[in-house]
Amino acid sequence: MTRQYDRLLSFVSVHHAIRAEKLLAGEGIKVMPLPTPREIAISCGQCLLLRSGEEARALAVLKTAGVEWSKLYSRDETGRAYEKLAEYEG
Amino acid sequence: MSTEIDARGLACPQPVIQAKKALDSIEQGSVTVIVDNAVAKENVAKLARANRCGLSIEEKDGHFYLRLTKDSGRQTPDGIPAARTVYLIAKNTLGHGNDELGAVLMKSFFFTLQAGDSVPAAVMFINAGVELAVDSSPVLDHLKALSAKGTEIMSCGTCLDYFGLKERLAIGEISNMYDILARLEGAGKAITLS
Repeated sequence: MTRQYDRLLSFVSVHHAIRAEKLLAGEGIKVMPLPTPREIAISCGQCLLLRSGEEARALAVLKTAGVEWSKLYSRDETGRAYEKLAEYEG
Repeated sequence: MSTEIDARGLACPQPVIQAKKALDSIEQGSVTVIVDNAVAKENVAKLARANRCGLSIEEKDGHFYLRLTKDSGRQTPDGIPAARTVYLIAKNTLGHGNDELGAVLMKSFFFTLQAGDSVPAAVMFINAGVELAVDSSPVLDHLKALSAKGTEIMSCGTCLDYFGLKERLAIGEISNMYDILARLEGAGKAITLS
């Protein structure tokens, strides 16, 4: 069910995660909320899965709205391996 | 439990051997391996995948930090496997205090439940919980995934009727209090979210 999602975005707080989910869904960008995977040790417990094909558009939407994400990871097909691609720079 | 191995400067296959030794020594927990080249990074990542471990990789100043996580499968603390557990869900959000947060937590709950190797025997919805089993449910995909793995999904018919949602049931069966009680009493472990 989640194999189509190959990117994971973490947030600085759950408020930003909730806003991001609403904004991206409103833009027609398919996302899936999930608790922060145990493989990733960060403070906020809420992340979003998205597809790499929509990554640039999603980040642009969040930037325009002032949503602060934390880290962007790639996610492999097992859904258990994550590699950090970028950090939020404002 | 968490272990750190600094394998910088070590020649192949030393980083993999040390990581394997550390993984073998723990039942569950994490092992962080620090390496200084891409080949070692790939080899330790392969080890993680071969051992069905979780993996996160971060690069700092040209060094790679690989965190391998090992768990022994989800079991309830008294050892009853998840497959004999039934859930009674009596609310469409999780917890009390704030419904927006409660909706987020409920989505996280079902995401985590369906992602496990072992899924519960049944998930049963009563009262406003039935809103989670209708066509507008934010957790419908997760319930479909649970159903595909063998979990029985049941919704209280009286409750669907009360909320005018009978025609909109999108997953599982309409049930009654007899069936719900039978599942609760026959369960290895029954968990109620209300």
